[in-house]
This record gives sequence, C-alpha cells and structure tokens, in this order.
Amino acid sequence: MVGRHIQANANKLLAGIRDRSNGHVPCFTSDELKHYDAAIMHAYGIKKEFPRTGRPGRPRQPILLAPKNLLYAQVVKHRKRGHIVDISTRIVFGTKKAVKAKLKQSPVSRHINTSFVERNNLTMRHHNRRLVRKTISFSKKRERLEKQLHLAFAYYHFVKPHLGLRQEIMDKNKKYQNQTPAMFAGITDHIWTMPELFCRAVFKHP
Amino acid sequence: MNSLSPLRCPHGCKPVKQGFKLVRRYGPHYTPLYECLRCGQQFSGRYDSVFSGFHTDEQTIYRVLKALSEGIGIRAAARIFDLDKNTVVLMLERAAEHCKRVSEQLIKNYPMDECQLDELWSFVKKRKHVSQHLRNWQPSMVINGSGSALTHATK
Repeated sequence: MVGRHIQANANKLLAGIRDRSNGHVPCFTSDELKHYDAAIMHAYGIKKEFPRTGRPGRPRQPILLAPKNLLYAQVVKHRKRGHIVDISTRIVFGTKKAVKAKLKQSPVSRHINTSFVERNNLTMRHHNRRLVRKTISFSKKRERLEKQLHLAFAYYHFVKPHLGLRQEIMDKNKKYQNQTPAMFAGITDHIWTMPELFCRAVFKHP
Repeated sequence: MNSLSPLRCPHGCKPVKQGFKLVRRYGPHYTPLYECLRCGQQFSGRYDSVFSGFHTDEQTIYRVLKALSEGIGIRAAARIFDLDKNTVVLMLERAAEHCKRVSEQLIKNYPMDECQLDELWSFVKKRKHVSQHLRNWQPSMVINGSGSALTHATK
C-alpha cells in the first residue's frame, strides 16, 4: 500500500491483509500511529446495529465491536528531547494475559515489538534504490514507486533465499538448505529462478 | 527452464493443454514460433509475456530485473547493460505488472498468526514549476502491505 499518512490508506492496508489471509484474526503489533486501531476495527470489527426504538428522533448509529479473539498491542516510545528514554507497551484490544499466552505460543516473538517489520523495512530500503534515505534517485511518479515495490517484493518472496530461514541439514556436501520466504510459507516448493518467476502463467484477462 | 512457453493463443482459442506446436525458432535470440493446434495460426513465444516488444535477449532482461530488485537505479542499470533508460523503465513496468499478478495469484488464504504493522517513509517529488517547488513536495508513505505480512509471519 503506497499512499499518504491518512486513515483511508490505513483502512486499505488492513483490508488488504484481511483479504490475503485465511480469515483467522492475527495478533497485531504496531507503533503508536493512531490510525491503526480504527483501521483494525474497520477490517475486523463486528457491526452492531441498534433496533429502532419507535420514539421520535434519529436512530442510533451502528457501532463496531472488537471480536473476542482480536489482540492488538502497541509499543509506546517515551522520548526526552527527541531521544528515546523508555519503551513501554500498551494493550489496545484483548487482555494482557491473552497477549502473553500468544507470545509464548509463537515460535519467534518473545516480546511485544515491531522488530520484524522494521527489519523488513530496512531490507526494502536496501533493495529499492528509490527508498534509500537521502538519495537523489527518488521516484518522480507514484506509479513507478509502486511498480518497483511489486518487483522487489516478488523477488524477495520467491527468488532470493532468506538467510534467516535456512535450515540445517545432515548432508555430507551441504550444511544448510536455503529457503525463500514463499517456500517457508508453503506457497512454493523450491527457490525460483528469474525465468520461473517471469514465465509463470498468469492470466491477464480472468 | 520453461522459458517462453505460451500461455494462451492470441487468436482467442481456449487454453488447452499441449495445444501448441513449436514450429521453429527465429531471430537473433532464437525466439520460439508456435502454432496453435486449434486454429492453426502462428504466433511468437514472446507474445503476451514480459518480453514482448523488446529487442533485448532474455538473459539480459533477467539481469536488468535482478539488478533493479537488488537496489540499482534505472539510469545505473541502463549504463551497466548498455540499454536506453526508457527501455529499462519499460522492462520495470512490464515485470512489475507480471509480479503483481503472480503475487496476487499465490499470496492468498495465508494462515497469518501474527502481524506487525509499520510504515516506511519515502517521498515522490517532481519539480514542475520552480515557484511551486515546495507545494509539489509530496510526502508519501509506503505501508508494507502483503509483503511484510508474509515474511515476518514466517520468521
């Protein structure tokens, strides 16, 4: 999702995540950007409508209620003169206990943080000349930026082996089995080559 | 390498399995020429693919795309591979459209258990009039969408 820092785009992002996942409500973690709670409610909230009372006046607006299994925790940074002095967490949806239990279950996360996505952002800055900080090769058109990101994400998911995902194997010649993120996610079964990515049959007119 | 096997007949025949015959290879890059077994018309293997319309050979196009997705700029890639800047841009556009479709096709119904949300700040800028320079400075945010969701959930 490429766009300005506004609520509508946050809603689109969350709707995109919901549409690509299998309907299971994930455990969300984010920084304090205020758009996220409304966006999560927009994507995952259950609409509650109020019956008409029969009395005069405008009927009550329907409200969005958080589903019971929705967990959302925020990382709150405390700053003093621009420097971060302390970090605390805040649970927005769900209970502290439930979030703790979720973290215990998780194979990777131990704390409420956004490290994985920050690392991913860094990878993206590394892989896209347009996203490099203080560069002069920035995009002049938004569409081009989006296109570059589509290319880089596909390359990252399907072609480039991820060092953090490689698995140790017992073999004489090989110590590690390389994996791409898509392999780990069970989408593909081998590391794709560039021809495989670009000659894959996709129907342009479904 | 299943390079340039046709996806469908450009003349509107329904996609059937093994409905194409390799007639011959033509041109400097040995591009395959196919014949649709249903309608009998011939078409290029580059038709409807990322490579259609380019004079560049496939290996160079792959290298250009790899360079672009490893963090090399458009002009730099054009200089490295002795191509025109506009050719590289066209390659990027074609490839991106294809990659978008591949991602849409494959990344769905993903069992997501954890999701971290964050933004990535970047900007798009174009100087149209010098006096309006500051007004045209559009900060834009790149929110990591499907991509980050996939990788961090798997890590």
